[in-house]
Amino acid sequence: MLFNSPLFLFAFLPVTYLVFWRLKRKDDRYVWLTLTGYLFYAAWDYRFCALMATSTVVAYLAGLGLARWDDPRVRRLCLIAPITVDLSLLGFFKYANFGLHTANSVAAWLHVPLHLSGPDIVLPVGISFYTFHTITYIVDAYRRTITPTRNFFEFSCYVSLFSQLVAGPIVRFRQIEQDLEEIDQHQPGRTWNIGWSFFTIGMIKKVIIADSIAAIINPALAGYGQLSTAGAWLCMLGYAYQIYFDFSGYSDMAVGLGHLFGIRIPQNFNSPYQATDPSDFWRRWHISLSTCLRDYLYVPLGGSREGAWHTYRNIMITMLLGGLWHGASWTFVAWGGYHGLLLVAYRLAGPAWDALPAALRRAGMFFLVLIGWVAFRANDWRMASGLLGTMFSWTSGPELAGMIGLVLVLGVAAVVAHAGRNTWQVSHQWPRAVGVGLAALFAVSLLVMYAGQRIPFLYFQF
Amino acid sequence: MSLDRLRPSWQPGFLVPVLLAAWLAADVGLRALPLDRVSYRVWEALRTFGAETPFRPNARYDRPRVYGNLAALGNQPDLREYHRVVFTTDSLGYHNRPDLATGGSVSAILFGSSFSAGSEVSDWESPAVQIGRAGGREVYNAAPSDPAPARVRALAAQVGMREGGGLVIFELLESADPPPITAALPDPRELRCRVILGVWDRRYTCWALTWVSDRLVVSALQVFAARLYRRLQNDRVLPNAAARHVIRTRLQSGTELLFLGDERATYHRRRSSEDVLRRLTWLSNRLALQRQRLLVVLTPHKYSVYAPLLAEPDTGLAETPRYFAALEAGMRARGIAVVDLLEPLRAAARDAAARRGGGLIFWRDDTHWNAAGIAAGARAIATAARAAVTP
Repeated sequence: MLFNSPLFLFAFLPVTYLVFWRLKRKDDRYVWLTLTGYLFYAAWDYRFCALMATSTVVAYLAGLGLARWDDPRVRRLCLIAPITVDLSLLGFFKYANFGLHTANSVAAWLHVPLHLSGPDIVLPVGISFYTFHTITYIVDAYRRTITPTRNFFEFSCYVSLFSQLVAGPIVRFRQIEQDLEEIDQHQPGRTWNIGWSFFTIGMIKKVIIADSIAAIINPALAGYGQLSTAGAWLCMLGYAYQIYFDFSGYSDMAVGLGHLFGIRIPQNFNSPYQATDPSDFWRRWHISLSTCLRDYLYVPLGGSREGAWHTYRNIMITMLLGGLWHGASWTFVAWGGYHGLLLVAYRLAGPAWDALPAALRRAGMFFLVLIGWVAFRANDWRMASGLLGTMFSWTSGPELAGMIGLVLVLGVAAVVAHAGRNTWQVSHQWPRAVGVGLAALFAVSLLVMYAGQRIPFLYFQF
Repeated sequence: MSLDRLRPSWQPGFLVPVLLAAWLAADVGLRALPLDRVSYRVWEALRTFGAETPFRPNARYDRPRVYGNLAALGNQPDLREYHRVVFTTDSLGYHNRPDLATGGSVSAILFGSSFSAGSEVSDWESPAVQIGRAGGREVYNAAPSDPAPARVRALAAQVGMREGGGLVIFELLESADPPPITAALPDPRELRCRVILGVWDRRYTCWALTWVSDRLVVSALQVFAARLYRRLQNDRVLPNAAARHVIRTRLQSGTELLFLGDERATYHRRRSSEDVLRRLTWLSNRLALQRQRLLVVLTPHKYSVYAPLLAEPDTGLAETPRYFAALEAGMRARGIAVVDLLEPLRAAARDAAARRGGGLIFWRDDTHWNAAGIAAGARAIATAARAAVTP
């Protein structure tokens, strides 16, 4: 069930909302949000509800154990065992076939007769997100950053909250713990307007900007071998804006939906294309993931505490694994590695870079990010190298179909992404003209949705 | 009440929920519109799926500007061939003049695909009418449906086809299968509903449920939205994503027309005739037990008819002629009457193309034959029908 689908907008959301506010007791609201979360998840594939339930129960029990026992060995067991279960599930469903395929490729390269084949595994939607939800909970409980909840339904509500279930943001328990604790004290309508404002803007970003770009560049990239140099650059420029407006649009919708139920979901994007350097970019792009990687991987590896080389090593490990988190493909690892190199290079040449004018640094950073998106978007190495080859050589080719539309949407997207304020920088109390304009664009989104143009959110696949 | 903060304002918190409510109301309201108001051709307007009748019974569709399925499917508005269609259904829900079902003068029943139903032509141009005219007999149009023995028996009794000597004409489209080897007919939707509801069923419950489910699946608002969006998919503002479904090409005469992409693939696909022959033999034997004679009409796709006339020659292996030849030979060997329309239609297409202006026997923007194509087919069928009923 997509947020931009009639079933969600006209059935799921109104029913979930109206029943939620009819319920007065804390547990009733937890149970209701849990039930609706599972229903929302089952709309994709009901079989994987059991997987999410397993992950939830394991993390909940680990939390109880960590709350009860002080013995360091027992606590370590309560940390390692559930995380092993979580990562095993993630590893099996997301990376098993990737591992086998890689082993076969390496064997073929070494001329070793090896042909491993695995089962036909379907990737459960959102598994990377709810696995991170449960892992961050267990680690925070181990570190005593949070007090694990004894209320199972509070915890299951946190894991299965439909607004952030399948594509994030990766919300840590401590970030919404207070809102969950006070769930029975929320007043309906207190954050009603801000919730709808977020949701509306997210819908417009997703349906009108991201999906319009996708409608034009996807067919072109499917035949990337025929692209001209200009076409390849336009496609990758389009993809840069598509992924930003798609994912930040989804995050805005998730934040808006959270507000409707009195739960404040944290910011996930802070105008990343206005970043001036690689560090700045990762403070602005997919904030919930980058902070998780920092707090649960980079810092435990030693962070920047053990000298320059260790710092570079830790950055590279973190970014390579961050790339792998996005998908079971070496192109994602390459993308992560590329950004790791950018971060290391910035550590080495930061002062020189920072001496450049801010506008030049912004443009330069956007250019570097754009190049990175080639590996991220490519289906395989051949496509990545083919696209880069076309972009950095002179190749003629036919004009892109939908050129007028692409130029128009890219123009709007560029202004918003590079010069506009983001949804967290505005008050959401709009002047009349803007309010009507947003509603009109929302109506256009509905029209596109009704026209059958529903493209899944890009981050669902991760 | 949880919506007590929904006070009029210019904020999204008021405007967007109100917009959603209005949108939903409009969607539900517009679903009650008769389908012929929103459809571009008769098929979508009158067709009933899973019901007891193939079309809405006793309906009359009269529109001056309908156009073809390929123009719609491939979003090719410039190649639309607008034409008037008058389409009348009888009390049994078939495309016939209303009195034919009760007249008792029927000597043959035509089964088959949308080609036989005459989905793109008016009442006086339909295949059943033209076969009847060419053969001097009344032919009842029971398409689109297949001649399952139980259906043939029931229909023959209903329309008063005389016992013994009754002819069953089965138009077998190139990509279609004969009916399965089973005596049972699938239960129509309403009957299945009654079985499920059992004692809870009241007189109009299942009728009402099927009416509502029909309305639920077709949203006029979705149709309007899709048409509006498709206007933007003109390869300038947005790519025409639908264009890949159709082939836009020219004949040697210079006439530009559309073909279904799948039809070209079928034309080149090697097919076995064994299973089809097995099913048709069973069908012929079962109909013989009911004292009815089967005539199979092998009907080619538009692409198969026009492949030799394309400006850019199709150099692939032509499998359809071989497939039809194998079917024809197999049926003759088994004593089943058969007529292959491939050559008659190709000849008619050649003649029409040679005329000034380059005439067509299929609609330029549709997969179906037009009145000229039906006339050519009807002549061949009428001749074969005469031979089939001659002892």
